Amino acid sequence: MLFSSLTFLLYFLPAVVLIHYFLPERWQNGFLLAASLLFYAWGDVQQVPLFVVMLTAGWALGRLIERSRSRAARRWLLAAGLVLDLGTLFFYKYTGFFLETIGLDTGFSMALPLGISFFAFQAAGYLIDVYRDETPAEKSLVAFGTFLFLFPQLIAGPIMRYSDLSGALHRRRRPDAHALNTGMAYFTAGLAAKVLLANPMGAAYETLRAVPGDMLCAWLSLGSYTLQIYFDFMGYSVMAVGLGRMLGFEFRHNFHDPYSARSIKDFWRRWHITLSGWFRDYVYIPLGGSRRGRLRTVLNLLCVWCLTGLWHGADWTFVLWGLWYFVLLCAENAMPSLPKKLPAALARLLTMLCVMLGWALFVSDGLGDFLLYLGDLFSFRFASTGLFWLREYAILFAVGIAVCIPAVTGFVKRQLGKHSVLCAAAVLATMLLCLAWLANSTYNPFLYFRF
Amino acid sequence: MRKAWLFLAVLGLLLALAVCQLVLPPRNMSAMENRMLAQMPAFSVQGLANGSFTEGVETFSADQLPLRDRFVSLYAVMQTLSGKRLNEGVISGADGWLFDRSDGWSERNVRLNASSLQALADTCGKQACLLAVPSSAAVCSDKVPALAPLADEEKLLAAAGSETTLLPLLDAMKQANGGHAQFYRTDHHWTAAGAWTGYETVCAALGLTPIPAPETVSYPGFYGSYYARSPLPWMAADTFSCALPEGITLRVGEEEKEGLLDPAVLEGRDKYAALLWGNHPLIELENAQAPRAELLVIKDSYANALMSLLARHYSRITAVDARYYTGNIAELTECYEGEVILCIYGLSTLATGRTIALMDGMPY
Repeated sequence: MLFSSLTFLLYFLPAVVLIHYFLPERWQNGFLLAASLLFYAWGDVQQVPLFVVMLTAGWALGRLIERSRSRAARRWLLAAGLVLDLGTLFFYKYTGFFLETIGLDTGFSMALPLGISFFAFQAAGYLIDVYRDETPAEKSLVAFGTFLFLFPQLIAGPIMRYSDLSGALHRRRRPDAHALNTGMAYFTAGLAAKVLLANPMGAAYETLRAVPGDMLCAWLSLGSYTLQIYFDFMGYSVMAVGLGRMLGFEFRHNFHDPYSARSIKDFWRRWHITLSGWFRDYVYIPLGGSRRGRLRTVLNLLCVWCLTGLWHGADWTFVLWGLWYFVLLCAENAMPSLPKKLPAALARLLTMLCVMLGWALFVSDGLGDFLLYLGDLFSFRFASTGLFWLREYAILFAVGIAVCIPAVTGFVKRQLGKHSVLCAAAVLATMLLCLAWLANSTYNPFLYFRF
Repeated sequence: MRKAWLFLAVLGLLLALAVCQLVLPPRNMSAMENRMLAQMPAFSVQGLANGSFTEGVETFSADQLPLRDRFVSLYAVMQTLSGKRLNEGVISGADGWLFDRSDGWSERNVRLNASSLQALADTCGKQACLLAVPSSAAVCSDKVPALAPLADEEKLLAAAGSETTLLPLLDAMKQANGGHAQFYRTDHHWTAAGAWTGYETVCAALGLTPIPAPETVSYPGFYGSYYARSPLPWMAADTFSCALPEGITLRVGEEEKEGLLDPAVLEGRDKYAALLWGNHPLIELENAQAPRAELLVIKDSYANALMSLLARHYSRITAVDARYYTGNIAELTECYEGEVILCIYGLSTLATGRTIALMDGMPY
């Protein structure tokens, strides 16, 4: 089930939030786990057994690691857990790619279980935390399942750590009026980002990409994809935060105005924050981070960015996309004062240009396709219809860009915060617009099927 | 929870819609969108396993959303306010005119179709004549938004003219009545007036003296193909018009039709489809009083508005719709005794497919 579907909005959301609110504590986790399984099975019933295996194995291994006294045993148990979690991820996501790369073109392909990259990482992070004694193991299988498969963040993140949620998992969750109101407002805002901005931007991208021989249209298409992927991903994350609040959880924000970043480092502090955090805590720092000399730091960065690229999809374009950021970050490390010396506007512009060229690689079907796209972007050929397309999408772009500017969103948030009636009216009107869009448009793509 | 009235308002809205959807009987058809609406799918284990059941429920809850027509209108308002003029390949022009996005039309297709027609005529020693009907965008260009993604139809017509004998229609249509009466606003076809211009052009080429226009009938409430692709609730309907000459018999296959219009189709939205009872692989028009013997026409739907006018000159017209005809065209031309093979085709059909070139029996 997707958040942006009418069955979710009309039936699943009201029923789950209301029933959960009135349930006594001992039923709440069980109910949420059952609801999450239904949520998942609605889209893909065949993957439910996989869920059960990952759930029981993760829970049991966590308990065993905590109880083991010997260091070696703990290490072996952790290794088993990581092989299970990351091995499952590898098996489903990368087997075909791996076989092809080593020259065995077997045509192997598996249906990728939705959201596996998110919950496999969450499960692996949990076991590492238990192994490091940073968190106690979860005693209840049901509570562990609720943590691992909580439906708001099940298919598109944020990637949560057990310690963030363990408090809420073990108390009666009865969100107060403020949490319910802000939760619903966040959810609606996220839905609007997905339905009213990302979907039309995606349609614009497809139309503009198909216009031949015009450099303006090539850049407009790249601009629309840049906005689409942000609004789509940010929309899901904000919806997750909102849903979490209505259920008594506090999720981390995954995006923090990434397109206002002044450097690449700054961009990655603002984009998909929980994924960067995962790689930092579980890969980069264990490898030694930046404390083992310059060469080792570069190698560690290389490793992290290859993995970050691969996490986004099993294809060389994603590896290259990761390497693109590796190169940019190395360059930035070599000139640490440069972003501060440049005028703010220029620094932002240069950052955006690098990010957008990255998206051109990200969206391409293979290297050949990327080179063609690059050719279009720098063709210096203009067709007369270019201005028609610019006018066609001018308002959509204007709204989209405004939403990326922190000053604008901050102003709107402050105004809505001051006037609660205005805020309620705005949220209600936005929900109506989203419903109108969903009832009409068949264009409602899901971008994370490769994640 | 009592103070959570923002939360309760939105939740109330969603719940009210859900309850109404469950309680109200489902609608079969949306007149506004002119389509059948999805119904609740029957449950089956197999459907659940392959995902078709849940997918069906999703479509059901979207199609049967309470107040759906209001939501459809709201969506249309949003689209218009967002300044978009292109929807589903249809461009909104001035004064309610709709046009086809045509920048993907292919000159190569036009050439292939035109040269095949010429080759067919050459093989059987006849003369080929092509009447290619331009689109409304080429004739009513003052209604088209600036820089819209359109084909250069003059160039496409010139390409056709370099392969076969092309009848000069575009300029005649532009001059007739300022052009605006020649086409429908919401449909890609031509009006009775447009077809009359086509008729005069054909008469000049075949050496016929035009017979004055017969009675024209009109039916209001015509929403054409462009409308169907990009419906806006406040859009004004066209009035469908056609000439109805007397004494002409239409035969579709073995069956003789009563009249030249399908009365059931005239009741519906797409009234143009009533002409000559729709598109058929092969039809014959017979007229016992006509002075000339026979004519072979290769056609698409544009010809349907013009055929009955021509039938006043020929005792028998055989018309093959190249898009649906599966017989051998060479066999048809072998027993054809007329001198001309007339092809009446929309330029859009010539440019977006190779239906003439791909006919069975075409010489290569």
